[in-house]
This record gives sequence, structure tokens and C-alpha cells, in this order.
Amino acid sequence: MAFIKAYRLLSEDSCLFVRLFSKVRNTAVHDAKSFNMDLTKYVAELKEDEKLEWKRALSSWWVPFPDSQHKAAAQHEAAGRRGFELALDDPRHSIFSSCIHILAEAHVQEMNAERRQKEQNELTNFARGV
Amino acid sequence: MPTPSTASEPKPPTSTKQVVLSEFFEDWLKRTLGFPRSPLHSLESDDDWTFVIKMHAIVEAALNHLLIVCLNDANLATLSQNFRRTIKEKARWHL
Repeated sequence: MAFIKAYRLLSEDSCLFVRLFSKVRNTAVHDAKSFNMDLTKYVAELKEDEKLEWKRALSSWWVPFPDSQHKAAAQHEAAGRRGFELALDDPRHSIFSSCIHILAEAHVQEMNAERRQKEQNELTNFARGV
Repeated sequence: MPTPSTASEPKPPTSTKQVVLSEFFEDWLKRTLGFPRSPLHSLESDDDWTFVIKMHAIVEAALNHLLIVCLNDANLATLSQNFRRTIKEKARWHL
């Protein structure tokens, strides 16, 4: 995670999600009492300040609209706020969305790296006169 | 006469929302990260304990891939595999 933060590969909220979710996973792995884990119950038993942190983490999948002046931006913003408020109602779904968001970030980084490599190759070929 | 098992039935998933992933993205997950089946399968059918374990493995795979792509170093992939192997071996010694 230190490298991920240093290279700013994920947002602060996604890093928070990884930290909090790792705690849940460690409890699941090391505590035999958690074999019948119920995520809804787990979230309901959190303290108020922890719930706020979890809300931030579980809505980490939301990204702002690319153009804030676009007419759809306000609607997108409202959906994000609703997502934040309801993040704890269905933790399983929110966890899934946050995980898929991190996967999607990896996918985007890979596509960007491929595009940069392609541009570099084209530039090299151009310089060589190929 | 066999006695009925006292083991509890697997708990059903606690989420009922419908989610769809694009075919292109699912194909990338299989091809690049080697996922044997769609993460959607876990969301729809696993109990919460199994779901947490699988989703965490998915996050780990995504973070490793992010670093490999960002640092553009194929050796990192081998390093990551070796690291996992070492951890497994250490865990075996401690059992």
C-alpha cells in the first residue's frame, strides 16, 4: 500500500477501503467465530465514528463527473450523495462496487500504459524514418 | 439409520441487487488476472464469509497489477509470485 500511495495510484477513499476491508478479511481468516459472518450485522455493530469512515470507504467507487458544467453533472453528484448515505444499507453490494472500482483502475492504468508505449514506438519509428 | 446432519446450512447472500459487468471487462479479468470465473458469481451465490475472502483476493490481485503496470517491470510479477510462495512456506513451518 505504501507504493500505491506514493505513486497516487488510488484515491484516498479507495486506500481507506483497502485498509478497512483488510481488517474484515483478517477477522474472517483468523477468528473461527466469524465463520457465519454477516456483513449487515458487522456494519450495524460499528461505532458512529467508524460508520462514517466505512461510509467513505464503501462509496469510494464513485468518481466525479468529468465535466462539472455538463447538465448531467448535478444528477451524477446527487446519485453520489445518495450512494454515500446508503452505503451501509447493503454493505455486500458496496464492497463489491469498491472492489470492482479498484480492478477498473488497474485496467485503465494498463490501457494508458499500452497507449503510451504505442505512441513511443510510433515516435521512434518516425525518427528512424520507418 | 443415518442421523441428520447438525451442521448449519450455508447462509444465503445478504445482497439482492442486480449487477452487470461488461463482457470486455470480464474477458480482461480472465485473460490478464487469471480469474477462473466472474466475480459476479461470488456476489450472487457465496455466503458473506466466502465473499469477503474472495473479494480480498481480488483486491490484492488488482493492487499487484496496478504496481506492475505503473512500474513497468515484468520482474515484479515474478517477485510477487515468489513472495507469495515464501509466505506460504513460512506459514507451513509455523503450523
